[in-house]
Amino acid sequence: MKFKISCSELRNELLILSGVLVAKTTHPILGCILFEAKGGKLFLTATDLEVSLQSSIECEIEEEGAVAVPGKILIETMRELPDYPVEISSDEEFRVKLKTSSGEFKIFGADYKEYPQVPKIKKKVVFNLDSSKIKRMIEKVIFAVSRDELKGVLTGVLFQVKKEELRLVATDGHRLSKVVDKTFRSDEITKDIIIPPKALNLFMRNVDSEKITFTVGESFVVFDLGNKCIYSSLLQGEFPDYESVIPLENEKKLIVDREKFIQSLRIVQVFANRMTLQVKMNISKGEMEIVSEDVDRGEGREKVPVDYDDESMTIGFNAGYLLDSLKCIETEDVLLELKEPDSGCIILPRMQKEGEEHFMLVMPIKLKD
Amino acid sequence: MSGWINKKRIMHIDMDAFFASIEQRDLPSIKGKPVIVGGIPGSRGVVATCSYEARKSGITSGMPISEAKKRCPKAIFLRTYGKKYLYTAWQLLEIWNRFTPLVEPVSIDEAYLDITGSIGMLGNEEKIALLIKKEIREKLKLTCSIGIAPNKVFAKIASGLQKPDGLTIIKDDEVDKIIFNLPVSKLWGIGKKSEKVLNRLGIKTIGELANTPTKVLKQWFGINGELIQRIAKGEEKNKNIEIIPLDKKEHEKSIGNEHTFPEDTDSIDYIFSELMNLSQKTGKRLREKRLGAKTITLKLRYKGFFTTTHQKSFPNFIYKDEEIFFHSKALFNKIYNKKEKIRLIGISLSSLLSIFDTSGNPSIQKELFFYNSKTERLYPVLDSLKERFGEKIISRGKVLQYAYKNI
Repeated sequence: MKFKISCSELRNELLILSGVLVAKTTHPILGCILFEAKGGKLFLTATDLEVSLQSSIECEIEEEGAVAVPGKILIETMRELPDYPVEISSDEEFRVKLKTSSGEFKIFGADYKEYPQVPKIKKKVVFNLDSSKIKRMIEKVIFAVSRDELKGVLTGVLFQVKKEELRLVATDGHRLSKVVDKTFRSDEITKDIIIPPKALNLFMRNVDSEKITFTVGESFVVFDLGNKCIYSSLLQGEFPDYESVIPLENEKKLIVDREKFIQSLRIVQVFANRMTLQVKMNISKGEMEIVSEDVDRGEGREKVPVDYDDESMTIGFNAGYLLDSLKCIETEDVLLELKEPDSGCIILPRMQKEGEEHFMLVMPIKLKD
Repeated sequence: MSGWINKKRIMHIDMDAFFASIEQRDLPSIKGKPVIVGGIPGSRGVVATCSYEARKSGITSGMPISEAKKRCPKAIFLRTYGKKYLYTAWQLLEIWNRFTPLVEPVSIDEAYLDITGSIGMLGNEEKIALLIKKEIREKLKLTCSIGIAPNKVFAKIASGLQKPDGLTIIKDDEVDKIIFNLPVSKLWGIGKKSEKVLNRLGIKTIGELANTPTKVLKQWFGINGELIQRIAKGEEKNKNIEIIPLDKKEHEKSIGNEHTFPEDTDSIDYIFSELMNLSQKTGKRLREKRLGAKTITLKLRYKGFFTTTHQKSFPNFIYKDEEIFFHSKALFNKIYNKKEKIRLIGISLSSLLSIFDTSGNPSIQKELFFYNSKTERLYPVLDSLKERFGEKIISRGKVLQYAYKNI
């Protein structure tokens, strides 16, 4: 393999690919990036076996071929090289040579045949999606994904592709976020699929085209962004029946200015215990008082005017959970629907965007007597 | 202000061979003989304490009982009798508290006393030390070793200089002479590895360590370099002279239990049964103190004494036995190397916070899916049963199969 390539272009692609590599791995090949030079292009692949990212750059090829190059040392080298074209070649022992006008660098690579292949999807359904819309939907749910690997399917985002809607749901068992695109139309539906957040984050960081192709297979999905392809395995298992835990009788409605609510939570949160981030909300007609106290940090309280005309109640929350939800609301006012201190609080934008439904639920912290 | 602080006088009291001395006191026939407390030969515990007669054969605490038996076949081996030792520890605390309100117990048989304020009232420090020794000897028929110095670190070193039944007093102006000539290994925090590194740098005594340029120590020990030097200089400021009495002490940083298997085992069923047993024990202690935990640590010791620990933190507090069991099991599955048998298993909970109110209800983040109010009400009942009738009155079936099969 031998080709000449723009140093800055290669560097940029490698930095994106490095997001896929795993830092600690028992399998050295997973720390490598696969180089394949063919048909006037250099194809690059990085994988952690669950998520793979593939991209390509135009280059001048003298001899086609492939090799796996250790990612960390390659990126360190590329970072230091000046922005001139670099000549990259490999020999039959998989030694990789980077040659510039003044220097020569050799890296010990590995056999490309040992590199895990990206999945080939047999039975598949293909959709064309509006990138900005799907990106917006992912942003509205991804924060609620569980970070606890023991929680299985809750560590991913549920995609429900129906004939007349596309629905995304995420929950970590303490809060839930659901967004529905009601303008979505499809002739084909798929089973429920659960996508790990790593693939979705890669998608959001790298999408720059208007449309993308979204391919759903038995155990894999592919996001084709034009210049890049993201392959992701699906989380196996059944997503819990989230509809059944959504409270239906939250009749106490509270409307509050979003900005003001966020500001108050942030300042009061300074005084909350670091391990619980617990804040207490004393809600009464026309006013909500947010309080927190901690033996080490002191006490903070702030009053926020609200539109509320029901009986007074006191309810506790993890301030972080509330803030996460409030941050992804776009309307000036927020609507909270409550029932009692022991049951979940529904958080909604004051007005839903046309053709869209965004719904969030946060479970409270049971307060001490 | 600083002049006054420097004049602090801190006493460190260390009971001599505590468990063994209590046993010798209660069983006159074993007085003057090598006594080893911790387990009987054939059992697989380690030496908790041994009498001075046994120490002559090279026995130290932490040594496996089997090894101790080899080194001193004639020794008298006894099981530990926790309740008795604890009772004696309370009696000791009562005595110490009469000499100063500033008593900080560090373990069952050791404490720091700030005697600065007592000196004028009760006589000089030597007299106070002798009075304490006398009371302990007359009331409890035990001996202790006492060190008095300007701070905790030096006081602890001093108490270890003359053992048993010793008294070492280090005046402010004697620190250079006495402490600084001691080897660095006497210092708290300097283990065998650090000692080796220091010796290679030509640093053998505490004084040499105190006077080495900080830069050099930082190169070898990182930020700890600065710390060990401050300790060597007796400079750990407030922490080093401040005495925290028992009732002011924050709740413990961790709660844990361990179990040494009677025989090394690789039976997963057996290991999990013990893990459940430990979860029940740890859970009960956690709830007794009204705490919840955010971090769990699993400890495994393999047949060859190789020990490994693994930790996990949660977004929310746990306090139920089955939660502790679930997470410790998951950690076990993650780290267990199936090729070797297990000697010891332990669970420890940390990042603790008081989460229960006075009526015993936990203040916790509510669950969306797995909400189960039944188990929430179960624990107050379980715990009060155990409180009244003992730990064995009620248990999960998984535990009964192995842990209690001998009852």
